Amino acid sequence: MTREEIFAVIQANIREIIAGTKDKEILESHSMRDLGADSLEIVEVVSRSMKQLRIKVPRTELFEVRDLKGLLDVFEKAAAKGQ
Amino acid sequence: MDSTTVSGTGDAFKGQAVLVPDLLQPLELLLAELTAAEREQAPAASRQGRPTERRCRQFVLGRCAAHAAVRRALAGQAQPSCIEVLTGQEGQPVVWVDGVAGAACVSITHSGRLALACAWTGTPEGRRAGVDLERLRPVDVAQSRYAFSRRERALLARAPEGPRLAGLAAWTAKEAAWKALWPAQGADPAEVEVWALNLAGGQAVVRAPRGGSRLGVRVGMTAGPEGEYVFSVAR
Repeated sequence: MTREEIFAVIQANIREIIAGTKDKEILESHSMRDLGADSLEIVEVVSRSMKQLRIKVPRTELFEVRDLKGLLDVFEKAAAKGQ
Repeated sequence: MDSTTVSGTGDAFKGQAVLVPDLLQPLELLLAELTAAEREQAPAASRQGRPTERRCRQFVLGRCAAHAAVRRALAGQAQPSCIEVLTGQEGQPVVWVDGVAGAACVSITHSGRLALACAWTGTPEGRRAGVDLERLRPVDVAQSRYAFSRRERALLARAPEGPRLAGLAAWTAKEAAWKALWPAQGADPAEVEVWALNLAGGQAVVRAPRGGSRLGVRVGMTAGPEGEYVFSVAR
């Protein structure tokens, strides 16, 4: 799974879950807070993305993530381990 | 502006809670409610319709709720124009009255188009309080491994109100406790664990990290611009 494919899954979930992001540009440099997400919406995006990507990431690693680039890094690492 | 009052635990630890809905007034009008220093800290919302505008509106509504809550907590001991709620170095809201910090403590939360703030005076040294709010919506957070430990997921699966409502309520309890424990809450929010949840009784118990003390959390429901919301107040 490529980094672009992982980001596409995250972007799709952000657009579906976080109000006001449907037609917005979503960049790796954004954080979900920047996009207007509350804490639960962040949980929803992360949980749903992990399920769709069939990856598991320890919670401790996720709580250190500050932006979408960080989330992508963690997901990419987990996807590579699962292959 | 709608408002409710939250009582403490029977000691001098009283709190005042204020809810502020977003009535979709122009952002400029909302920003005018803040002090110059508060406006400087507001997230940029330079272009209408950008995601940052939502964030900015939530920030301003939260500050408006905090101002009102602090005014009530201080019971007329300060002129409204002398009250500022600024973001501290660690991201926490800090109450300033007449240029002096610490006359009250405040916790702020928002979800969708509703903001909630609680302010307290007379909080014991090193003890804080926290609030969290979530709009009721169809989410399956109760079984999320990211949000809850195995023990919590088992607790929520047995909740008589169903896992959806219980999951949202437990999340707010956890977030409120996380804020109340600041700055000693530890690095991992997963360590803050919901130990008991009684939605009918409006209560939850949350265990602090590393086998620490247990916090009582008040859990309640309220109406807002987008339906019902669940909130928690930890102290």
